[in-house]
Amino acid sequence: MPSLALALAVGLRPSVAYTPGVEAVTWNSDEALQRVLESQEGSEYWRSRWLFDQAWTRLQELENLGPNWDSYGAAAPNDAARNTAERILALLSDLAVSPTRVVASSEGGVGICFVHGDRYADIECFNTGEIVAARYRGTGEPHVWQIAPEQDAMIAAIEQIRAHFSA
Amino acid sequence: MTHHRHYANAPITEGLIDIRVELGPDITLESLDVVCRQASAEYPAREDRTLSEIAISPGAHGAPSTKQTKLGYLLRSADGKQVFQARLDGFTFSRLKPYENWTALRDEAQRLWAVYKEGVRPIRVTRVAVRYINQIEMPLPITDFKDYLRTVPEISPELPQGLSGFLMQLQIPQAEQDTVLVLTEALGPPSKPDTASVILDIDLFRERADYTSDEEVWGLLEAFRDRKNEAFESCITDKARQLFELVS
Repeated sequence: MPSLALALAVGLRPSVAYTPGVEAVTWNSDEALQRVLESQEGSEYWRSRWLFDQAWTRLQELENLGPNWDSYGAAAPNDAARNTAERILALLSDLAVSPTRVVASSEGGVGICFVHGDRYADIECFNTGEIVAARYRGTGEPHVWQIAPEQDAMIAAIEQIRAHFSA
Repeated sequence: MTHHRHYANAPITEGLIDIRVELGPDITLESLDVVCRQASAEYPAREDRTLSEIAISPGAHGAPSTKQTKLGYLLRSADGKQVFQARLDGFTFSRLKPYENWTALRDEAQRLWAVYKEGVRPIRVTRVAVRYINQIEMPLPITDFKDYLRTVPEISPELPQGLSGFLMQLQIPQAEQDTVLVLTEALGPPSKPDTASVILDIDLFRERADYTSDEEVWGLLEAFRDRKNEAFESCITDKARQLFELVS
């Protein structure tokens, strides 16, 4: 949870609150930390930022994958796939559609996945340069479609995915 | 009456109202499901809202253990700009950018609060908060953050002054009992080239368990809105106001 990471990052362990010129007010440090954690709850901005930070970090980590990374002969994501995934992540951020996770594709490329309840969607950026999206609900038939590498087409696909989770 | 400054280009990236409650033992996730269905016409996209707890044992060789507890649901408007959380510990309503105005935020929050209350019948309100998160984009190069911000980290002059990142949180007890102002500042990802972005997160809350009426709760939220504005204005300079295009 971003709240814990945030609190630990700033090393919050206050034991005393000071007002200059006034006697010190003692504050229990555990209560202070709890207040910080609670104050982080509820913000969609911080929650979304944490999700995107995770996504960007994961995309960077995919650079370190080698061939046969899944022991079934999958090719590691190449520069083309990672660059396309970067463009799409940037658009997702602009459009405020948070991905659930970023993964390497067993077919060679990068997958950006969205999962909420029984609804699923993904955008796969293949090493070949192809971009394919899919969405489905429960055990229903997936709807799969290709995305042209232009920005307008990517935005349209993202809006389709947003609508899929709003339906 | 407090005069509210209006900016043509206000840096608000999220405004939210948060109300924590104590619920009866008979209230479950199913009760929240009913609340969500009532709001589903305007908030059709739904996600689970979970709390993750990480346990790290000192000296342990194993990995930390994580426990996830489902707290409730997060619902989004079709355009993704408004978010409503219905949880077992409370209620939150957020408006994301482009922010409209306080009246629109408050009125929609009140409407949804009525739906939430009807569904879960809180025993009492225990905490109320108004929180605004601002993303301040400053044109590069920046000689000193103090050109734009009056609450900033201060680095000793004997150290290099360049920053590649920072995160600062100040918890400032207020004169009123049980009220705290939490100011969080962080370097953020810029949304435009040739700018530096600072997040100024202003969170004002009061923890009390003796609110006697909705009128008292919403009256306090109105007062918090004024106080939040005062905090914001006290943290910025006139040069920052020029960025936001002060109208009145």
